[in-house]
Amino acid sequence: MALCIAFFVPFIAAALAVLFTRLFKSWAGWVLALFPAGLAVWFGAQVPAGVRGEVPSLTLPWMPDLGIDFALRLDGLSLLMALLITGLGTLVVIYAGRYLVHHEVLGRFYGWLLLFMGGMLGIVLADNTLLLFICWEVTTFSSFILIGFEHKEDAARESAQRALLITALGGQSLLVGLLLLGDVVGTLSISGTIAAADTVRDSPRYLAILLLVLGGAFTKSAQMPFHTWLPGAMTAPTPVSAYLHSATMVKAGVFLLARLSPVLGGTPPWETILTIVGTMTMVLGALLALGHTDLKLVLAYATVSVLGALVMLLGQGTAASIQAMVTFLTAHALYKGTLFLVAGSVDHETGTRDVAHLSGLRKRLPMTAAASAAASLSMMGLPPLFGFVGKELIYEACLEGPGGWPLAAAATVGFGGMVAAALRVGVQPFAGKTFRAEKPESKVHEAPPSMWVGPALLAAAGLVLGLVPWAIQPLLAMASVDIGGSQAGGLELTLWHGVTPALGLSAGSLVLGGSLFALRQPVLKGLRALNLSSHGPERFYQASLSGLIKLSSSMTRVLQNGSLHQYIVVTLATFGGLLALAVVLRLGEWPRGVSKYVLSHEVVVLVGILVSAVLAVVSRSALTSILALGALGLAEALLYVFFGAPDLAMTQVVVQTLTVILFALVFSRFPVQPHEHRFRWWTAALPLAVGGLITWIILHVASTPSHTRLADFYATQSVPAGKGLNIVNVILVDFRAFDTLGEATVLATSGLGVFLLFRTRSQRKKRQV
Amino acid sequence: MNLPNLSLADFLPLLPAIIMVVGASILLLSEVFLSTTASRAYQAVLTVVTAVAAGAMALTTMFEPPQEVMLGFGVMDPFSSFLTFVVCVGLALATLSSVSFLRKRGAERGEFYALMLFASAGMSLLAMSNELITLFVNIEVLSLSTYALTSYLRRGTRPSEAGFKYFILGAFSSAVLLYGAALLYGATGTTHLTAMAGPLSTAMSSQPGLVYAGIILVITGFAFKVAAVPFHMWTPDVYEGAPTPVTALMSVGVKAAAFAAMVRVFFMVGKGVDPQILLSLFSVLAFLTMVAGNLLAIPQRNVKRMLAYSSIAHAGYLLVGVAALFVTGPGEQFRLLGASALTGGTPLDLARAEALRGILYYLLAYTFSAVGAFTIVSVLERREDEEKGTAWDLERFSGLAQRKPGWAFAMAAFMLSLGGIPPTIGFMSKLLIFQAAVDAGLIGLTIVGVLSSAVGIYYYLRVVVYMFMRPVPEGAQALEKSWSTELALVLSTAAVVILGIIPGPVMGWLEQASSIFGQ
Repeated sequence: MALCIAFFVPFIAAALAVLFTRLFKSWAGWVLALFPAGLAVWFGAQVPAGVRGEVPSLTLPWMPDLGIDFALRLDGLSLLMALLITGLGTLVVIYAGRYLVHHEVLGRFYGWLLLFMGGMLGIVLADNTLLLFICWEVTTFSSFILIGFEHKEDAARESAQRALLITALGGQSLLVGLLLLGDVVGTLSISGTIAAADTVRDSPRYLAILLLVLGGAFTKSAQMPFHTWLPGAMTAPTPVSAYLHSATMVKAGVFLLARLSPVLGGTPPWETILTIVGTMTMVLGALLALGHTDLKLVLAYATVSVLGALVMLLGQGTAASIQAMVTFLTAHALYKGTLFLVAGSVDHETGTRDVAHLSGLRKRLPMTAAASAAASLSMMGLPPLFGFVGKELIYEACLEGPGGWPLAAAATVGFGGMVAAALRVGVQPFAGKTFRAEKPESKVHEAPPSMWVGPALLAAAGLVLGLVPWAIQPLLAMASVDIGGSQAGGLELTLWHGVTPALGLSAGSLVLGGSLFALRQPVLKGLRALNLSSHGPERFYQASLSGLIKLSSSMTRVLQNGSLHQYIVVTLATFGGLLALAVVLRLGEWPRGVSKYVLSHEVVVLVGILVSAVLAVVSRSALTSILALGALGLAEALLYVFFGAPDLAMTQVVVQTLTVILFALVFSRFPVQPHEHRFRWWTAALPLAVGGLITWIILHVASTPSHTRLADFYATQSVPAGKGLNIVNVILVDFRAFDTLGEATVLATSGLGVFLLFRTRSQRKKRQV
Repeated sequence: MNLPNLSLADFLPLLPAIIMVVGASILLLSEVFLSTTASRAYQAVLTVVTAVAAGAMALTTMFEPPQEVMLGFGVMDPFSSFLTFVVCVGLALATLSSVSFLRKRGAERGEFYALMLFASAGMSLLAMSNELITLFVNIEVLSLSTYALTSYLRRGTRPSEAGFKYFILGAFSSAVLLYGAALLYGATGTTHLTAMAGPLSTAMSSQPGLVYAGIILVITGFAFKVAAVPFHMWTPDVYEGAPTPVTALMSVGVKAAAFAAMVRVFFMVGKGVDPQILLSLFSVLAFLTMVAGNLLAIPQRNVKRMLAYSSIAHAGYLLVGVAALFVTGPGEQFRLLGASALTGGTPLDLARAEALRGILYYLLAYTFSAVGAFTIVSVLERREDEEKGTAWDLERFSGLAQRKPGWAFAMAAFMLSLGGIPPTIGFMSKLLIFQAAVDAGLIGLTIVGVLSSAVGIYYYLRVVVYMFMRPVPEGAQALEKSWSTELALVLSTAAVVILGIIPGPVMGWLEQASSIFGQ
């Protein structure tokens, strides 16, 4: 039950955000932070129970008809993620309270941020694939709003839209994948699915499911080639970048892969795809990070690189790589959160976040500088910080795993890039003797406490965990077991592993990173000259979006040009094609049983019908057309007479006469413009072909014997049932009494309608006068 | 020979339609005696009351077993009752949004509401029709009323153009449908759907061509009415030209009734012929409709037109559900994850019931979302822009969140719902339909459908971007407030959000309604 409350706390906080902001003014951030802080404490308190092996869970029927339960489960992986989400969330809310203090709709900002937190927490707690998906979409859309929060800028709108399009497309792909997955195992419960993992792997749909789920996870976690939205998302306010785009939301894809790896993992396609995509993302992300001087952009690309490393580790799937993944994920959340917040403070205090214009800030921003230093050392993977612990594990996992030395080499390059990036964002602005910033030195001062407490705490956590890694070891071990099964247990974290090949690789990446940083000017120039971001995925995204729009515009122009004539042509053609298909398939033979003898007076009528039909079409005068149509109808009436249906003929004559009169009346008032008829053979051929087809079918109908004759019924029943000798009278007032009543009603109603029409008309005339 | 006997009990099932026709007659009659300046506020109230009464009447029969109506020409079952309810919901909401629309244009007259009621009565009866001629007559009842409503505002060229196109193409499609019905009659000797299965399978061996041609003609006729590609061409022009509340009623009511009739006809036909034929025909229609509908909507800056194209796309998703009705094959194919609450029958029956449930829920969901969206469109448009064609431009939505936060919130809910994004009713209905399709083994159609709906997010969310992320345009006029519009918006927003989170209450009805074709 407590779990259920925990699930809803962020949503409640989100609902209260606007009210609280009005009530508590500038203290609202601190008050609202109590919600996630309380959650963090509660989740922390669950760790001992979790270590004992208890897994709190809860299942409430929600939509039993669909197999969607409100099912929550708090295992080690969920617990780790929940702690990161709520812990970082607390600090970010406090930070945002100061960072956006003058923003006009701060309350709404808190609301969206907390809503996002709720969605994110829902993802990690859900034990039902569709509940997970719903929360997934909540994060997609709240992040869309948050990225576009500074929506007065075009760039913010554009990048919000891009992030949404890419992640929402992935979301839809995930939805199909989850539906197929549920269909294969017969349940939507995640734990149930994990229990039935073998069924999934043996299913012929396995590959489809895998690709669709990966579509969701890769877009969300910004893997190549879907990563382009993440750098764009840096237009978001910095607290959002720190929270969504480094620590939580982008990890949702990684989390999903980790969650489903007992089900989908361990197969050749999984291993191949994840390793290749992850490695590519890791290396290219690190390289792209070096091509920028904007603090946030560098951090964004470095995040892309880390996400690639995490995916790559999941792809390896060995016990060591899973343990390394869990550890590094935690380390990254701590240091990257810090660095983003630091970048925000720098931007806030100095007015720029371009590294090229910053140096020597440490004197004016001592607390921020200290936090930044600790975090960037962690990012570089130096002892005694937690980042070092994580990085060592990664190297070991690479060396031991199926990827072997090539993968370890790729990881070294990736980390080399990250070292250079860490030096650029975490050290360069603060180091140096001369002070440089947008604002003059006297105006630049330390950020207020609510803005340095967050980064300082996070950085301190990275340091403490590096010194005493056993403190977090049980939690990380639990999470590893949840991903990799019992063989992934037995995680042991130590700061010093002795002199191993991994340490050598660490040194290698430090040297590489250091030299990349030392050569930063040529590297920057080189990368800018290459202009990587405008090639490849970036261009692909632009091209496919504009291509889609072009395609649909031209489709609209061709298919939907507003011309009734064309609509009829397309309709007739499709319709005729379908009929022709039926004829070719089944009605090929000559119709049997149709009399081949035609009498002379019938021929006369036929010719009359044909002539009037042609006349109606080719005539240029509306009146002639109408008269020709009337003649056609009268000729039809004659046919009825010939074949023994005088009553039908009577009706036809009356109706035709009325129609001609009405048409003539209406057209005399219509502004009919004479227009050129251009004779095009295909406009004539199409209706002729369709008409021919229909004639052919009619001939077939005519060859089928008819079934019953209604006339006999009336003849025999008129006296006994209708008590009348005049059959016509009996039919009208007895057998078809309802029809007659209906007809009378219709007449009366149309009379009323006509009356009202005339009255409106006269009123309008009066009004105009 | 047995002579048929009609008792009063035969008329009871028709009560919803009778109520609407009586309401319409009162409106027409009273209009005659009103002076031009008299207040006509009672007309909308009467219409809403009529719609609510008819809808409530339909709900009371939701749990009754199916029974024949008027000697088997119609049938009243939970399926028809549910659709009547959907139609009445659409009618009530569209009426509420008409009030201020008509008042602004000085066009309040009784026949407008009377025509809406006549059309809805036709829709309700169409859902009950169990015989081809009855079905055709009801299609004509609703079509003729909507033709007239389309050009109700006889000002400028657009309404006339829309009405003319609608009439010409609609008449063509009705004729095609009738012709197909005649061919089916020729092949089977009956027009009663329930009696058709046996003779159809005989005719399939003796006269297969006639049956094929008949089926193709009838499908073509229905494809027109539900706006399936490539018979959709009238939709954008007509939806744009018609008065917005009429567009709302057309997009939901006509669609619901036409789908109902189509499902009923082809379910019975499918018993007589090889369902594989129907499956392939509907799959192709669904594929084309989903893809083209979504693609055509992308470049639209005109929101009303965009909604028209989107209604085509939605018809495509519904057609996926229809296609799922005709799957056959080995029992193992059906895993039926979504059918846990449906009971009785073989896996095949259950899979079909699931598909039917998806279609019905989708129709309800679309009713709330689309009527709501058209209501917002109608309050933002201005008469003087209509001729310029900018009355429905995206620019109208700029900064709506600052001018009218409530409306912007409602519109955002409708857009998310139409885009099938949780937690809205639109997501639930999309889930139900595609879950049914997956359970029936239509994997390809599901993938195409869900991915093409992702394209929809682009054009739906663009409206949201304009509302929330653009500044209020300079010189924007004050927006009028009217109780009826607000009521319509509150009701549809509440339904969109609440039924998206707790679909429970409606699900009970749906299980009833979807089980009827099982046996």
